Amino acid sequence: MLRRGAFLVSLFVAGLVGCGAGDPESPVAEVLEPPVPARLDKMDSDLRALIVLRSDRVREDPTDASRWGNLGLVYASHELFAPALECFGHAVDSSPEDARWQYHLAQMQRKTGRVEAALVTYAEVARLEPEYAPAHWRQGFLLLEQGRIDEAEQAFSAAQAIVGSQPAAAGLARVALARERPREVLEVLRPYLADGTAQAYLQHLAGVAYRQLGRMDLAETALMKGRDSTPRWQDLWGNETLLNRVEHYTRLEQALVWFESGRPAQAIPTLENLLVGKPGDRRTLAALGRAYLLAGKNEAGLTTLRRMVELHPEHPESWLNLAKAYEHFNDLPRALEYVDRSIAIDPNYSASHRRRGIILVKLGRLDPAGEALARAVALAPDSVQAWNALGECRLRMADWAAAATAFKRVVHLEPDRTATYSRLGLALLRSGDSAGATAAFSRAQSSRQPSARSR
Amino acid sequence: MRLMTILSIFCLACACACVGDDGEVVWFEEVAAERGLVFTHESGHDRAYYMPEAVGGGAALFDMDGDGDLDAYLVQSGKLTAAPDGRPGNRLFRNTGGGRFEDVTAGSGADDRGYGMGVVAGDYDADGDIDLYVTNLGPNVLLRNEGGGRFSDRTEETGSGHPGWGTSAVFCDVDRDGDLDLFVANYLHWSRENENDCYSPTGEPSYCGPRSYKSPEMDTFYRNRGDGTFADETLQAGFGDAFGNGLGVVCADFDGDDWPDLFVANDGTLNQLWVNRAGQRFENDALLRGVASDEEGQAKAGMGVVVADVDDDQDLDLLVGNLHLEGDSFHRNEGNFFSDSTAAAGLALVSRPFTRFGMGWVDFDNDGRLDLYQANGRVKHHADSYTDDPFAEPNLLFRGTPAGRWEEVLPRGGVEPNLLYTSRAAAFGDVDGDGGQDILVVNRDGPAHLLHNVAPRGHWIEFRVPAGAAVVEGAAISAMLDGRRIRRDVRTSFSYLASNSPWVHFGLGSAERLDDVSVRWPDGTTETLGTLEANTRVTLERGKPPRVETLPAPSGG
Repeated sequence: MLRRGAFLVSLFVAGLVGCGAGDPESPVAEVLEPPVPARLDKMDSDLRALIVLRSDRVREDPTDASRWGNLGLVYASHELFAPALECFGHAVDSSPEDARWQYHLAQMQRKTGRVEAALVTYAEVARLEPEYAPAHWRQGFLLLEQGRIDEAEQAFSAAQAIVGSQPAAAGLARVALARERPREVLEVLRPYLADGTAQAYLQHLAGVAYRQLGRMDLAETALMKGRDSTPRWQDLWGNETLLNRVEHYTRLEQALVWFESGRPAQAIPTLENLLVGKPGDRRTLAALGRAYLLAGKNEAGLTTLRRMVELHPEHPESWLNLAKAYEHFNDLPRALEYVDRSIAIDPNYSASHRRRGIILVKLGRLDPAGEALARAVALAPDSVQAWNALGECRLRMADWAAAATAFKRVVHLEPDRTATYSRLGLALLRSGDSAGATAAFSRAQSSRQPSARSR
Repeated sequence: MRLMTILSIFCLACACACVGDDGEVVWFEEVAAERGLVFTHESGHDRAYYMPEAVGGGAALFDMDGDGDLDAYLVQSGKLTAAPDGRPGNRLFRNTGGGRFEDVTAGSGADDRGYGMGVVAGDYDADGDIDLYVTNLGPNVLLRNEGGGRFSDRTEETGSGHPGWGTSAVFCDVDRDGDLDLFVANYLHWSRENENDCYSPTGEPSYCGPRSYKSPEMDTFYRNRGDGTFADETLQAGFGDAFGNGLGVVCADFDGDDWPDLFVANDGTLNQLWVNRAGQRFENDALLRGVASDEEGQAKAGMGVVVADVDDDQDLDLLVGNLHLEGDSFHRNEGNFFSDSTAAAGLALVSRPFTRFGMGWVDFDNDGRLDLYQANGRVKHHADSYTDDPFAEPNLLFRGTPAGRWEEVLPRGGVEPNLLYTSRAAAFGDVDGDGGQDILVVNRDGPAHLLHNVAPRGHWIEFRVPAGAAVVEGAAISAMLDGRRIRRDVRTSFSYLASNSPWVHFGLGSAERLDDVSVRWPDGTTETLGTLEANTRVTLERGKPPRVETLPAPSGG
């Protein structure tokens, strides 16, 4: 039904591959031209260039599995699943014993909804490379989603036997949930929960189990810890797609990760390079400006953020970033002026009100600061940062009860935020709630205990 | 006698069944234009990618004139940059009988020209005719039905014109004081000035996802004062405690305490289950009850939502439609909490390649099991496209099975040739009174579709509860069918940006009657109705014997 002829060919190829066909005499073997995705002309120029380059490499030697596979990786990395499926199909045709290309083929079959074919291919990967755990647990999750619980359990157990890993444990926990055996869930997850290494997703599954057991107190804590948790599993081959992304915003995201993890020097060259390609891009300008500031390159930071305001004066974020820069220089009146410009553009932008409140606190103007931060939490009631800033403001105002309320909200939203329990304890103590304060301080203390593994 | 009846039904069904090119039975035929329902949605997209363009297009099936058939209202969008006068405006279609429509917009006062999203129908002033509440990007509009096919804009005097980005809405008497309150799901804070630049994975300019704005909007709750006006009690009622990017909403008593709760499907943020505390306060208990997310843990892109008792245990289950590469979320009600039964129900994988908006659990083939329809359409560019419209996708139809699973019906979507459009709202109801549930689908930048039910069908009974006498939204009708006790509710608001038939439909399969029928009114009182014969339309008025009208046997379309 998809309209491109190339895609129809790819389906044909993939179907045959999925059935184990690879007859060199068949017409499929003659389809050796690399697939060209639709809308190629509209793609990022770097990506286009890479596709052309790797396609040329395929044409040079279409019998080389790795050339097909490497082109497939570029497509898979940019969610061009249909041409990726075709390329991995050719790679597998050329080198059927190569588990890596089989694995990528299975991934594409899964993502394009070819579930049965994917299961067959994952099984083939497991045969070729029995120690590669992701082939087992990915198979398990697919089986689980089909409601094939017993088979899923076998696949997860196989993964678990190779190396006791969190995805296998998560899979076995979900098998137990499907069988309505919540105690088994907790048993499976116990090692990870006990040593503090459990990913948030495992906390989520534990919460579901506690709920089934009627242990709502434990359920609530675990579910809060695991809320909105996207599993991040180790998968060497699967993660290859991350390494093949060339698109501007993917690289920007990577630079932001460096920047936000306190490595601005690592982020700056990438951001500068990205800005050459898209000189007016708002997100890149913002990230580069802030990275400069963080790296101590104040003049460059200010120039970049001013440039952002010049180019995008209609965006509240432009003014907010400039305000942060002046706050960084401790020029608080000017920071306040710019944050007010941001609010004038969008009065409903919580981050601007939060920043306004924080600046006002620094200026010692606590009443308007409290109002600004109350506005920030009203606009974003799930914002930990806004509630925390409000709590700190209320503490300074000696409004202990209000501070306690704000900090309670913070730890409700983020139960592992150790530092806040101390602040909560202080607020409760000052407001006369000794028992509550003791409990909060105890929680702060216990949260600081090192885990069994770290000991 | 019974055997003969069964045989006769199946012979009739076979004789009438429409068969596709591959020999598969077709369930629907697209008849919008030939039935006079001519409407083309316009998103207004030109060059820039403004996010509201991606999600609009609502529809209502409601009995505007009290003549016993379903009229249609279609919500238009238009150019975002245009002044309201420069937009095409919403359209009102009168059902002239037999599911044929005429455009009666001119002079009706119903042609609101806001940048439209969705619509909900309900008799907010209890005067016996059905009013409309239209959600917009910008102030929403309350259109009071004045009778005679005329509507008047009562937004200002009723105090109901929330200025944000309204999406799905629901009329529901949450405080059980006898009038309809109003809850509006809001999406996010958006303006052209703060629009972001977003790109597809290949670097092509495209629509942003809601997370890129980091600015979810609080939903709005209007309490009906009983004098034809509303009080905005969003904060007093507790709805300020959690925000999300709201797209879908249903009102239903999930915990069986006779106080209707509210479920909001959020896009990229955790869903909310607002548990009703005696009509005054609501608490978001979604996380603890297991509907904030499904077993996969992360907040998915919740869009369409539907509620029904699908497993015959007399409580209400939930299904949320999500984005491309995300499975649906089927939350089975276990009493105190919900369990994720998506995989067990067969819904984890089939729909995953599609972006699901409008949806309905409806018994299309009248076999006594709820089927599932999903109206799909992308919000971002993908590498491959089905047609020149890069966002178009096929819609999906699933048959409910006795094993509690759903199986996809082919040809895809139950139609042939396949309809490939960017579908948004889907509204459900029997527009031609033939006992088959039809579907009105709004397609972004495409023609609306009226999918006439031509499936081979079993017997049926339809229950109608006249508006105006009392609030009936949420009334639950239950009955014994072939040894099962099944429950169907009066519920107009579900799906996405849609308002559906207020009439309650029971498919009976080959059974000739429903036994031990009872209705539980929203205040918790129950009336027993005894046995009712198949192929009838039953009108219920509280405290009065049901009025039963016999209708023709099923014709299979």
